[in-house]
Amino acid sequence: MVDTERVGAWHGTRGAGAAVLVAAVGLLCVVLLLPLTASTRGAVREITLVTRNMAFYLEDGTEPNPTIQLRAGEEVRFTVLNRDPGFRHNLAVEAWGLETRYLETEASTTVLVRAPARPGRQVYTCTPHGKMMRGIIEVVDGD
Amino acid sequence: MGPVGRVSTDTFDPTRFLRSWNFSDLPVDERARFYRETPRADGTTLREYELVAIDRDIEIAPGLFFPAWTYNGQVPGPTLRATAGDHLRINFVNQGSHPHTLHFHGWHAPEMDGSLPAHQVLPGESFLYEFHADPFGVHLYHCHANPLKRHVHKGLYGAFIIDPPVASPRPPADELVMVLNAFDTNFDAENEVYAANTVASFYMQEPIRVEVGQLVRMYVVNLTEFDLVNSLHLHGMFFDVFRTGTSMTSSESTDTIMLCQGERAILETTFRYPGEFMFHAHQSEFAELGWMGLFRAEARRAA
Repeated sequence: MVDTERVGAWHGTRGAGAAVLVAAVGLLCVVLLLPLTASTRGAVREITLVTRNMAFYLEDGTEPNPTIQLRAGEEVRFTVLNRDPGFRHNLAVEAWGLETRYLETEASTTVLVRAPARPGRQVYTCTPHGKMMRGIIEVVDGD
Repeated sequence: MGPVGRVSTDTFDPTRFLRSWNFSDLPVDERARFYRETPRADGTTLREYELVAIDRDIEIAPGLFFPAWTYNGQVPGPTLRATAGDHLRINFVNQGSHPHTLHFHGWHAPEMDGSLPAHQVLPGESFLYEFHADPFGVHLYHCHANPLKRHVHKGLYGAFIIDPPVASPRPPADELVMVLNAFDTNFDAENEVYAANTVASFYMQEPIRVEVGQLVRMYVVNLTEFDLVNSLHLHGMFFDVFRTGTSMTSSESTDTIMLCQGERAILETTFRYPGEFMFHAHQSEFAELGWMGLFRAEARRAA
């Protein structure tokens, strides 16, 4: 089961005031969002996070809860895939106001975000398992 | 007799559970996340554990999933094993949906008891339990949050083995951990599924392999909720009983032992004949609802 969540945090809109919160309702919204998701710097970066053994892993990665480096302002599509039998997991970045829905085993979801415009470090977690499933997103200066 | 089909053993394998303690079933790097041991100057060992309470759906019979509360994702929780006098440090993290605790049987200070309301560890919080392993024997740990019967029956329990001092160990043996448990799948305060080590009738399909002539030592702990007692009966032989494992001298020789909830015993026997031998609760109802298994004794391999 794969679906796409169009909630998420929209950053880097310096001067645009408060972040726009968009409720995902129907095709109309999708169409409206397309201009926002279009990258000005090329393709959207794809990052897949797999949850297993009570930790996040990069696809084919061996390090639990790895530090994820993003360039300031870049657009990223996170795919979260739950490979942990019997556990419901999600992906949350509190500092961005991002929280995906909870995923049953073998379910996945994608969320499109724009990294913050300024360098910094934010914590990503699984909401119900935030003590064990906790890593760092490191935002570095863009090119 | 027994269920049709097999449970998945990907996340919990009752055969591996029998002979695993201190996370010995995990690959080395993963094991280090949950268990570390450090020799101490006085000859004892500092053992550090990471135990996590976490909700998980577990398969207790083919296709039957139970919404369990677990320690480290498994029921029974991981078996902890130390030697008398060791220093134990258990970092308990509650990642579950309810307040939980760790309550160990054995000597410890009152603030390490994990039993009073003030001892509850709320979801998202943690607590460091610290005590010395004492006395040697077969013990248990379980959650002591209220309502106790729900927290226990949901799966928050495990075996806790303390070996005699290094200078006077038990004789070498093929050692097996058996936690007698049961599951109330419809919340009527009665159990519908019984087992040794969670999965109904598992050892009927995958007999426990032992060797003729080899001493077999079973660490048996009863954690069945809602029923007054549980029992273990072994066919075709007798075994020596060491109640609570706190003595090196057997108190009786029998083929059926009765245990109240929280009671436990070490059972020792040596298989004389090759072949399959049943073991099960001698309450027939429990046996037919899953608490039944087989030993398969094989001739000792030529040296």
